[in-house]
Amino acid sequence: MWSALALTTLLPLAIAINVPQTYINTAIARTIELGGLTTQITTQYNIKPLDNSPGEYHLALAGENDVEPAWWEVSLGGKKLEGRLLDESPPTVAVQLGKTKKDEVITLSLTQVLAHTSTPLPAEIEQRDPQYLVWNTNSTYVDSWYPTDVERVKIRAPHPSILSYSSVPETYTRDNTITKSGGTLTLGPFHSLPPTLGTTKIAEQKAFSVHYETKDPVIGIRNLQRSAEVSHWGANLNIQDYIELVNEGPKLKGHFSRLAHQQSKFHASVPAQILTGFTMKLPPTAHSPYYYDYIGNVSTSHFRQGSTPATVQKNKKVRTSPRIVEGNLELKPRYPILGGWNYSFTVGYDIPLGDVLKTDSEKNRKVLAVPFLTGLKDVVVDNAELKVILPEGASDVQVYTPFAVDTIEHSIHKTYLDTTGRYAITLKKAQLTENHAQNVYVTYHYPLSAQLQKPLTIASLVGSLFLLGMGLRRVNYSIEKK
Amino acid sequence: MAPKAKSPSGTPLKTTPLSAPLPRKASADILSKSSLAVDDEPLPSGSTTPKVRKLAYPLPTHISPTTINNTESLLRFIILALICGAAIGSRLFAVIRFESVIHEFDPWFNYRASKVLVNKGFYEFWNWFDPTAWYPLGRTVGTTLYPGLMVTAGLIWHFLRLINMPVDIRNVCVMLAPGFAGLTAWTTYLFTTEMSTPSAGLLAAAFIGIAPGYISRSVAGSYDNEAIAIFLLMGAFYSWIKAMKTGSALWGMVTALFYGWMVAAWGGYVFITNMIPLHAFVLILMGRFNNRLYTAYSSWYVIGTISSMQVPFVEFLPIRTSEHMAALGVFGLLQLIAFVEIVRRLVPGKQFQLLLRAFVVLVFVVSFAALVVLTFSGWIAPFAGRFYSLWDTGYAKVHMPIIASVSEHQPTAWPSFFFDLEMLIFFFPAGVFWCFKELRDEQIFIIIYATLSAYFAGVMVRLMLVITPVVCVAAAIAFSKLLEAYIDPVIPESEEELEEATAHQPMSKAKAKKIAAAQQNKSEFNFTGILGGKGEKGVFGLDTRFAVVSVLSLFLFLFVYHCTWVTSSAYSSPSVVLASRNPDGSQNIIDDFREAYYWIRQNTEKDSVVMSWWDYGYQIAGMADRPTLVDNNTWNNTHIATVGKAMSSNEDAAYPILRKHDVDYVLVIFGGLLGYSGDDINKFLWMVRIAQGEWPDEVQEHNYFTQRGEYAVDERATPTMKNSLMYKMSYYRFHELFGGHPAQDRVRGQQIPSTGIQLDTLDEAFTSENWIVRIYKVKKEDPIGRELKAVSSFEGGKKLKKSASSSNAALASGAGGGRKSRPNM
Repeated sequence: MWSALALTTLLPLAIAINVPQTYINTAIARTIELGGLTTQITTQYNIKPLDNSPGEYHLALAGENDVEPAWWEVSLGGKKLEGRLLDESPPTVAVQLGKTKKDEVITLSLTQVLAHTSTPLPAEIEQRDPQYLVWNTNSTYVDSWYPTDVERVKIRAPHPSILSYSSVPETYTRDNTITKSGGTLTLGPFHSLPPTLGTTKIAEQKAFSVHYETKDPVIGIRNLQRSAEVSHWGANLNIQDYIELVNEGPKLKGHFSRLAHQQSKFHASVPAQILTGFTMKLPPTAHSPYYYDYIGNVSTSHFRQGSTPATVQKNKKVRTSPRIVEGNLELKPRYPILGGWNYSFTVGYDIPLGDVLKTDSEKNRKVLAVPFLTGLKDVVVDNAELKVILPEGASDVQVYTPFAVDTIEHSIHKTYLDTTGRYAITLKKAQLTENHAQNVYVTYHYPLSAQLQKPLTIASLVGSLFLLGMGLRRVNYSIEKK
Repeated sequence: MAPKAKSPSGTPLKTTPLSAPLPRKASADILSKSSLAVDDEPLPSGSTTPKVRKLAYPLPTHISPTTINNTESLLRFIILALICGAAIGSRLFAVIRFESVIHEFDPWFNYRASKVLVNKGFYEFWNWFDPTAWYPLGRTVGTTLYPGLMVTAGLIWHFLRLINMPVDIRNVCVMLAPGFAGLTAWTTYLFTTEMSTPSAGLLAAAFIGIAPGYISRSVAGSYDNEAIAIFLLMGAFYSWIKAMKTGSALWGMVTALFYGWMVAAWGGYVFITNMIPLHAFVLILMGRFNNRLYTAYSSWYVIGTISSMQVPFVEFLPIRTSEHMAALGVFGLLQLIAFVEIVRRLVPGKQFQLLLRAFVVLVFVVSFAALVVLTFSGWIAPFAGRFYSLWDTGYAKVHMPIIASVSEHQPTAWPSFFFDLEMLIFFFPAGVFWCFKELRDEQIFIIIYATLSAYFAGVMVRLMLVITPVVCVAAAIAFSKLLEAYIDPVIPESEEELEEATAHQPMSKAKAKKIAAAQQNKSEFNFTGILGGKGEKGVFGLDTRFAVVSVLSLFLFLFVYHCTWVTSSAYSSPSVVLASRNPDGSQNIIDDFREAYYWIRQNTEKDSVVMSWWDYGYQIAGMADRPTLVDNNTWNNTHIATVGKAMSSNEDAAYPILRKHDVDYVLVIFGGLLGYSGDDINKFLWMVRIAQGEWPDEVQEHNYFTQRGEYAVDERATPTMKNSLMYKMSYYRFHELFGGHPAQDRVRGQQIPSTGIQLDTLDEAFTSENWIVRIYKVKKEDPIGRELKAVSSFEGGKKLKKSASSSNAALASGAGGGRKSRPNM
């Protein structure tokens, strides 16, 4: 019946799919956390099937002209749910809700992270000015393929000072449209909202924007190149990041005054736009970190090593209860990074191989877990590259990624004392957020013969050099006959 | 075989790895003992009278000569290896304290050139034209540098890549100097062994390995020409001695190759170019001409000159400049003498010989006259200015302020001899004395070398480097002679005893004489004899020996201690990174230079031109990667003077200069906040002097001094000083930092007036954390054609009358009397 209807109404829409109207949203509650570069959106859907076998639920990830989320996750009752991403616009995911009965209410929750949705306004400020961002969306209402009974949208700004926000049409509201309390805006509640997507009874979306202040520097990473090098002999995994950092907040108007900066530091009121340092969370067993840039070591960094129950037990002096503590690497750039300024640098550290490498004894394979990136709060990585370098002689390599990546390349990497070269895998992906800091798993076959390859090659080379020397010493080069 | 045999040599060996001083002491001990053992060796077997030798302490007998020989060479090898290790290790202070970083100024250029060589290939490097240096002139780098250093580093880098060791070129550059210092120790050992005994060689190797005079130029990170030059110098000298002794053309060629490499690496090659001819000439004068000398010299000169001409920077200099004429002259002289020798051998007759001698003298005089004529007619360039400044120390200050402004070109102060060479400077004359005593051909070389370099080292601090090797060699010879004398266990017999011996034994007098002669030969320096007097056994007793040897060992210990201290405290600062101590004793690293350079690199336009005093040109090019007006390759005096003029004149005069040279940023070094004394205000007078050299009417040095002749930056400073761009840029907003308290300049110890400084044509763009580096952006012309002074006073809120033209805008701003009034207009 629905399909027939869709066929008959030939609407000039980009939407080519027909979503059978087998569900209704009894309530939707959305919370939007505004930040610097990222916006985190959590949405609770209360869903009621209208059928006994309603099929898949179509969950819209974005509105028609909206930015696609950089990261999203659907969960049902706290459990992560795998969805099938449809090849459609707007991006929609089809979710299997399992066996459902008619009129049984299901709570589905969707977490999304949007990147680059806030832009600085004004785009240029002076050194001591506060920084404001404006957040724009094309969807005031939560996008859905199904009608909604009640809907409420909360927008939380990081700071109470909100300069302005746009208005909401009163089409679906009863008493109040927007309530502001502190840094929180509540839109709605909206009642009896028709689907915003699809072919029937479309509720018209309206753009919405918030102009708010943020007290944290807006930091983006243009490029992140991580290389992870496995050494079985050294029982070590070295992780090294090359990072091109940019302050994406409002650009600095005029010039930087060290005097003003030192004065504001003295009064402990460093303006929000200035990045003077940040902390990277490292794995608990990470050790020997380093931090340098193109012209050498940067001496302004501190490292507090993490600990695990195992390491705590080893040195029993510590009386605290054994628990996992992450390592903290506090980095301070060479100069304070003001709006629009760049800073590129390299950071690296070592992890004992035992913590990240397991042996699958059944299949005789090694399983290696490499974190794709080190998550930084509210930071978007525009382009990331992960290069995993396996030891020489590793073969039969397979890669398992926690999320879809753009490209995977296999190559050979030659470095210290290699003869045949090492197997290297390069993964590339654009637009990553803190939530992408997950492990990539690489499995490979690494026999004992491969492990012995390097020492044997070097030993034989050195041995043959000695033999050559012995031989040459016994040759008489003199032209004269004796 | 015999455990006893091991004990004298074995025990010191065991202790060698414990600390640095021990190997040296051990080497002295072992070698004098073992060499002595070798000397003694024929005696027990050859002569049947072992009773005659009186020994101060027992020596193991029944050890076969081969064992001794083998042990000896093994020990020598191990000791030499340890010395090389110590030479490398003592140069790593900077790397361990700071990091693997390129030091100072010139090394940054060498490093940058090496990167070009490695990344873009040899031909690109050879033909490299650098448009970013000496903007807007550019610099043809390929033909204006000594490529030896970079090529050496590049070859090492390529070799390491070949064996799959992809070491970063920076690390190759940083570690090049220590690595070559190890090789220098080795060549010095070979060189000294030719002069004296291997034990002296080992001592010399140990001395040069840690002598501060050489370390000052070769710590890890000081990637400069001198880093490999001393190795090449010693290599060339060693192979020259070898060639001269053996008369082998092969060794002559090796000398030439070392020489060619040296020419490619360092301008100081002129020293070899004159040293070897001088040696040959002196030998001729002493009547020691022989065919070996002829072969060695000719093969060296021909191959060496041709190979030196391959370097683009040198090209035809060897046949066209006065510095190289001595070598050519001696070459000609040798040919003549050889010719005469042949003729003399074939044609007997004294008169003919006389004729020939006359002919030789005539040719010599004629060719010298031709040389003079050619020099004056301009075919042969006269000595370069830098060369003159070697003879007349006041020359540079008058004629070439740029050269005089470099601190390392100043005459050497006496304490620095002791500072750089410690006890070696006292042993040095003794060693030269011993050379006089033996006076073989090779020892004459040492004498000449010592005389020449002693003069040069006195003239220029920088040339301390040249004297260091010969001081080490001579001191090692003296030292080892002393040690040998006091460790030699043989007690020379007094006449009474001899008589006694002859009385007791019906031995022939001839044999007794022989023994006596042998012993006299053995103790050929009569120190012991003279000191002890005849029959004074006490001098040869163990107590005396112990006293002297332990005093000498103490000297060695002190030497090592001194060298380590000097290296650690004086010569291991990268000067790019400064270190200070926090109140709690922890190290605080002051990294302002790199902070500012990296800021420029990351946050300015790629083609923005940075103007600074020439000292920082190479660093800006290397670290900030931006075009510079002038840099440490001070080839264009006018360009440097232009920068000096811009810095020393007022804004009105400086602004057109800045704009004409497309300057976007001006960088000054200011140490007043931190007390960093090497800042631009302290160098300012040199800028003024150099500018005055070109524009004596516009810049005058006396205008920068107060009436009482003081160089002041406080209230007393002259208006010219206060209005100069350098003064304004250094102290701009400085007093505000003190929040009302008097602003103290910690370098000059003066109070900076708290009247604000107004900059009309520049904007402060960046100041580093400790205010050491201050960067100003040059304002563009006003879009509506006003003068910048008028613009800033307009923006300062001062109303301009409509009639006020731009010319009297200056008056308006001066008279405005607002909070930013100009001081002392």
